[in-house]
This record gives sequence, C-alpha cells and structure tokens, in this order.
Amino acid sequence: MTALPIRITLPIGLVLALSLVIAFIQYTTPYAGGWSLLQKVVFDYDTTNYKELIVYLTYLPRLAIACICGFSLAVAGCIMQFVLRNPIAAPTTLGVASGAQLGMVLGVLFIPASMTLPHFIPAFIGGAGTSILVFLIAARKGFAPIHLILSGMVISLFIGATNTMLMLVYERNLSSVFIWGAGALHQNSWESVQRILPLLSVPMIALLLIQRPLYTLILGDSVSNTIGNNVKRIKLIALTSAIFITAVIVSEVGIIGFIGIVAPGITRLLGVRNLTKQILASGLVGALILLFADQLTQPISAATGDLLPTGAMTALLGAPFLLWLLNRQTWPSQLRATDEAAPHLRHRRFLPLLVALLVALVSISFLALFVGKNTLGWEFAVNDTLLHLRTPRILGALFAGIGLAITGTLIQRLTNNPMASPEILGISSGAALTLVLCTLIFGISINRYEQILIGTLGALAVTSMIWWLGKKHRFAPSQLLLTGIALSAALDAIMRISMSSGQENVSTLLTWLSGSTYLVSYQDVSILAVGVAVFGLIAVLLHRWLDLIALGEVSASSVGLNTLLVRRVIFVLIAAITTLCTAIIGPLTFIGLLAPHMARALNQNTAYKQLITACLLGALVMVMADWMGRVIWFPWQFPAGLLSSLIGGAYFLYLMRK
Amino acid sequence: MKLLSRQNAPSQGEVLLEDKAITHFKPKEFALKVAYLPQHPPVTDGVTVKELVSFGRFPWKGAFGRYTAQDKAFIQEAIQKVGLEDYQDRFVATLSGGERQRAWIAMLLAQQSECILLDEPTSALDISHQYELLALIRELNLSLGLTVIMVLHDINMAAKFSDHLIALHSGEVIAQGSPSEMMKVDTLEKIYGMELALFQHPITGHPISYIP
Repeated sequence: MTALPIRITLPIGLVLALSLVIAFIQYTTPYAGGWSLLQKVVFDYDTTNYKELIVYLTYLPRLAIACICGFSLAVAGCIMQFVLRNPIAAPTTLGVASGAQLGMVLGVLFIPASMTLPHFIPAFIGGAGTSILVFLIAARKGFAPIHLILSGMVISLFIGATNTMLMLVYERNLSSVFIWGAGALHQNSWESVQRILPLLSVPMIALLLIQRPLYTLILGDSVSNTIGNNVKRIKLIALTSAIFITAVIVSEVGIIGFIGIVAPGITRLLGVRNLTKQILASGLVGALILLFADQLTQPISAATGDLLPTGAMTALLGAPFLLWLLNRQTWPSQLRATDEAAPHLRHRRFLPLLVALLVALVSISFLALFVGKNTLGWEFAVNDTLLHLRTPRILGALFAGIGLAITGTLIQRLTNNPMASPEILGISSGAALTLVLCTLIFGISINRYEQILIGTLGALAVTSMIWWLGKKHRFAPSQLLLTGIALSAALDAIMRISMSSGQENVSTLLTWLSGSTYLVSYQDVSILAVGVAVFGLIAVLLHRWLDLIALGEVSASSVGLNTLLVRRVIFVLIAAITTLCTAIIGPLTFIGLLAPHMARALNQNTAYKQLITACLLGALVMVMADWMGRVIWFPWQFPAGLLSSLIGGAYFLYLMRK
Repeated sequence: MKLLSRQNAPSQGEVLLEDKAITHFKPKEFALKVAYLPQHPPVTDGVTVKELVSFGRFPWKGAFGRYTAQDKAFIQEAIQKVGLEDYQDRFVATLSGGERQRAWIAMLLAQQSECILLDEPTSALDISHQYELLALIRELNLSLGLTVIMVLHDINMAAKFSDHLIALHSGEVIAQGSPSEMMKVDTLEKIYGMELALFQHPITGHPISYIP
C-alpha cells in the first residue's frame, strides 16, 4: 500500500471532519430544526418559542463547551509536550485527572451538603495536589521526561486504588461520580460556560505573555539559561498554567482523555513548527476533534437512551490514533532515562537475608492461616473447614506475589528503568477491559472459568499488539514502555466509561479488578503455582541474560548477546506471568514495582539475587495484604490488591522522596 | 568504528573478517573474534568490578554454562593485568573515570577475543590516566598479540602507541602509514587542514608535532 504523504492526507482528514461536524449539527439539533433553527436562535431569539428555548439552553451551550474544552485541553497538552519534550505528555498521563477524581470523591463524602461549595473546587484541589506530588517526585530526577511520565502513571495508580477503595466502602453515595468521571458534556444552561471562561482566560493570558521565552526552551535547558532565561521559572509558569487549565476542565466536565495528546500530535504532523502557531493550531484541532466526538455521541446517546459520556467517544477515537502516532514517530534520545548519581551501594550477605525472609514468609503464612476474626473478636483456630477456606487464597496470594515480583524484576531489568512495572505495559488492563466489556455487553454475570478464560484472551490480545508494535523498533525498551503506557491509558479510559454505565455487575467486577483472592479455588492455585514455578524457573536460569541486558544494547551485543532474541524471550516471559496472575486474581498493582525495589534497597543487585529476594518479598507483602484485608474491615473484606497498592504506593512515595 | 563493531549495518559494501562478512557471524561467534568498548560505556548500577569482568566470559559459556575454575582464573588474570585487584569487590559506579575505563578493559580482556575495538578510550581522561591506559593497551598488544583498533584524536599519542595510523576525513581515508611516515609536515597539514611543525623528542628522538 502506498500511502499518500501525511501532509496531504491530514488536511483532507481535517476538512472531512469539519464538514461532517456541519452535517451532524444539521441532524442533531433538537426537533430536527437543523441549521435554520440555530440561525434563528442566534440572530432572532424568541423566548416564547419552546423550541428555541431548548436550543438556547441546552444545545448551544453544549456546542460551546465542547469547543472550549477541546481547545483548552489541546493547548494544555501542547504546552506540556513542549516543556517536557515528550510527545505523550498530557493531562491524563500526568495524573491530574485521577487526582481531580479523588478530590471529587472526597468532596462528595466529607463536605456536608449544607455547605454549598461549587463541586469544581475539591476537584481542582485534588488535581493540583496530584500534579504537585508528581512534580515533586520528578524534580528529584531533574524532570527527566520518562521519569515524569512514570511517576504520573504510578501516582495515578495509587490514587486510583484509593478511589476504588472509597467507592467499595461508600458505594451508594458515589454512583454520580462514576458518570462524572467519564466526561459528560450535556448542559442545561450557560452557567458552566460562564464559570469556566474567566477561569481559563487567566492561564491563557499567562501563556501568551511568556511565549517568547518559552520558545527558547527548544534550545535545551543549559543553552536557554545562558541566553538569559530563567528556565525554571518559565517552565514552572507554563506547567502551572497547563495544569490549571486541565483542573478547571476536569472539574467541570470530567475526564476527557486523548485530546491533549492527539491534537498537538496532529499539529506537529501538519508541519507547524513555530510554538505560538503550534499552540493555536492544536487548540483549533482539539476543538474540532471534541466537537466531532460529541456530535457522534449525541445520536448514539439518544438512540440507546443511556447517558453516554463524550469522554467515551474521544477514548475510542483517540486510542488507535495514538498508537499509530507512536508507531510512526522516531523518538529523540532524550527520552531515555538519564544518568543518575550513584546510589549508596553496599554489600549484604545473601544467605542470611534469604533465611530471614523465608522465616518471615512462613510465619506470616501461618498467622494468616490460623488467626482471623469472628463475631466476638480475634480468634485462633485450627479447624478443618476454616483451613479449607483459607488455604487456597493464601496460596493464591503467595504465588501471585511471586509471579508479579518476577515480572517486575524482568521489566525493570529489561527497560533499565527502575519505575517500570507490569501494569504499565497494559497487559493487565487488557485483561480487565475484555472482562468488563464482556460483562457489560452480554449482561450476564460470568462464572469463574469464563472469567479466567476471557481475562487470558484479553491479555493475549494486548500482548500480541505490543509485540506487533514493538517489532518495528526491535523491542527497544523505551518504545516498549511508551507503547505500553499509551495502551494502558487507552484501556483505562474505556474501562472507566464502561463502569459509568452503572450496571449491577459492575461492583462485582470492581472487586475482581482490585485484586481479590476470595474466589480462588484449589484448581486455580495449582494452575498459578505450576505456571509461576515454570516461568519463574526459566527467569532464574536466564539470570545471566538479565545482568547483561541491563548494560544496554551496545555493550550487551559486544559480548555476544543476541539482544533482539533476549528481549523477545523476556517479553514473552513477562507477558505469560502477568497474564496468569491477572487472570486468576485480577490486575494487582504495585507488587511488580515494589518487590524489585525492596530487593535493591536490601542491597541485592545482581539479577539472580534480586529475583529471588524480590520473589520472597512479593509473596510476603501479598500474604500480609490478604490477611489484613480479611481482618481490618471485618466482616467485610478489602481486596488484597488494593491493600498491597496502598502499602506499595506509600513505600514508593517514601522511596522517591529519600 | 560502529560498522566494524556491528553496531551499524553498512548501507553499501561489506566488512570482512577472515574473508567472511561480519554480518554472517552469530552474535557469540563474533564476540569471540571482536570485543568493543563504546566511547561512553553504560552506567552500571550495582555491578561490582568482578561481576563486570565476568560478563566477558559470556560468549564462551552462554546463558547456562558453569563458570569453571579456568574461567575464574581468566577473570582474575584480567583484573590483575589492569591493576584493579584491590577494587574487585567495589561497585563500578563508585570508581573514578580512569578506574572505570580500566574495569571495562578488563572485561574485554576476559572476553579473550582476537581483536579489540576502542572508540576514543581516552576522551574522558586526564593526561596521566590517558598515558596509563594507552601504555596498558600497548603492553597487552605486545605481550598477548592482540589486534587493537582504536580511535584517537591526539596525533602524538596515536604515533607513540600505534603501529599503523589511518587518517579519516569526512568518511574518506586521506592518509595512512606507520607513525614515522605519517609524522611529516605536509601529511599533517593534509590531515588537520592547518600548518603543524615537528621537533625531535629530546630522549627517544621520535618526531612530536606542535602548533608553530
């Protein structure tokens, strides 16, 4: 297939989208009034005509809000991408969105209804707080783009876990937040427009004022400094403005993903190079995309009678585009993790540590097996029925912990990035998404085996997609990571939308999604155990590869390592173990990130020792989280995955601040 | 240098080693023939000198082969040759630039390939470390019969430590020959595009170039 050059196809596509929008407006105007009705409302507004009233109060504000949101999100994305020199930096990838959601949830729960606080304030505080956290963490690493993105992802995961936990506990109070979370644009007055326009004008003017010094950042920090620029201040102003814009939009209409990534991407492909023009052009492109998505959403929403959020549509349109963008772009070398100062490296004997960890693991397992709570309080029981109930879940937690620790170590070694983890590759989100979609589409509560089967299929689909996308770049680690991040961001967005449909099954799924061990049977455990043992053994046997691949392409291949083959094999191992763990106990987060880190913190640096230490630690934390989840909120239970995310997240933040 | 070490594939023509195109070698086979030290060796988090040097045995043993007493002896020998015996349990990341470079050289030695490629091995080092490193490489070259191909920008250093010099400019060979053939005023002017003069080394009598 010989494709037309991009400079020609893209403008054609944009013009096509614009004409489609015009056509759609003809169709979606209330009472089939089309453009003529709109014209009448705009130029000759008659308040006594109920049709015109409806158009004036619902349809026009919706158009306006779509334009404004699209424009602003695209501008925010453009600024973030320029300042961070990273083509996938965007409001959603930096954790602003999930922070705003947390703020919203907390606001609904803890601010008394009598206090008539506009709901965007808690959301704004949440969003801003999260981004400050992300930046504080990334500042330790000198704002290296990949660190920034990864800390954004990790914070998102952490906050997502907190959100889910709150939603499990306060299920009834929070159903409205689900819908809000997915970006619904429907309006019933001009109030929103009036509220956000002045708020948005402040950062826009700030950006306009600093655009000249901002453009000099293209020279790189040090050069830009020498021509008399205060680089830090400029960056701070630019990023603060971008975050402010995002927080305002998120608090008003919810999370609308992808515009912030896609619109600046299109603009760059169109060949707009000057920054000011780039900002304006991507704003216009963003407005057009959101209008288009919204126009597509309206008829579907009207036909099904459901309140379909527009964010759903942008995710569906944006995800494939983003992947295509990632696939055709070449990445600047700055995207690689930057060199860092040598950490405090020390020697520690391996054997004593191993013994200590083993003892701890065995004792915590026995604790979990025999100690629990009953209606009267704490209880120590050696009782066949209880043991029968508890053994499989403890073993499930144990092996899942081991499996995730192995994948985490593999990914971190492979990508040479200490913040990578299995969740980031999107494999577990893939499993989760297929499951959610199947439940929603077929509307039946699927049983355990279908659950495992469908989860596996989803994970395999994502794996083959990453494989296919990675082939072009010979599985270069940073591409692999970025592709995974893009994929999992897309999948998460779609998942959030599916959840907003508010069906009965959703809360059951939520439990699975948070990594529960309740449903684990002996059969599951045996599959998991065999799988983890086999793949884990392979990983341990290949420890020499793992040591070498961390040296990077050049040196690894100069000692005769077939780097392409090695990357492929390691990737297959990662995918296999992640799929197993995800299918059986859900997309657990953080153990994969945490365990290898803890092993390093315990001074086990070679691949072999790190792998084994991480396995023991992963099992330890999982069993502990499982047990705590069982007793803390008795007689209800917290999923082990959630608790381990919280333990892991807290530890991660501590680690990053150290 | 990147073509020779197979980091880049040639867009036309081919590089032959023992009458065989280097692209036809399997990775491990090639590693037994040619070892390569990049200009900026990667950062090695949490790898000790000894572990780094033992990576050099990989092409001999692969992923699963046991390291025998003989391998361990080779590793010790390599560490001794570069004079890092006292540092073998230190982490590479905590060493100074010159020591780090020597640790990498030791890894190349443990690899025991017939040919060593060094891409500007001295660029990050001060003059005493430069001398130390090049003297070490020269000694290994003479005592072990290794073929060493290295990129150097300092003509005096290159002349002192090499048997054969090749001058490249914009991808073309503009001059080559033994140090004494190359160290001539007109050749030097051709290479550097500026006038350079020569004087005799007061002790060895070798020609030394300087800016007149």
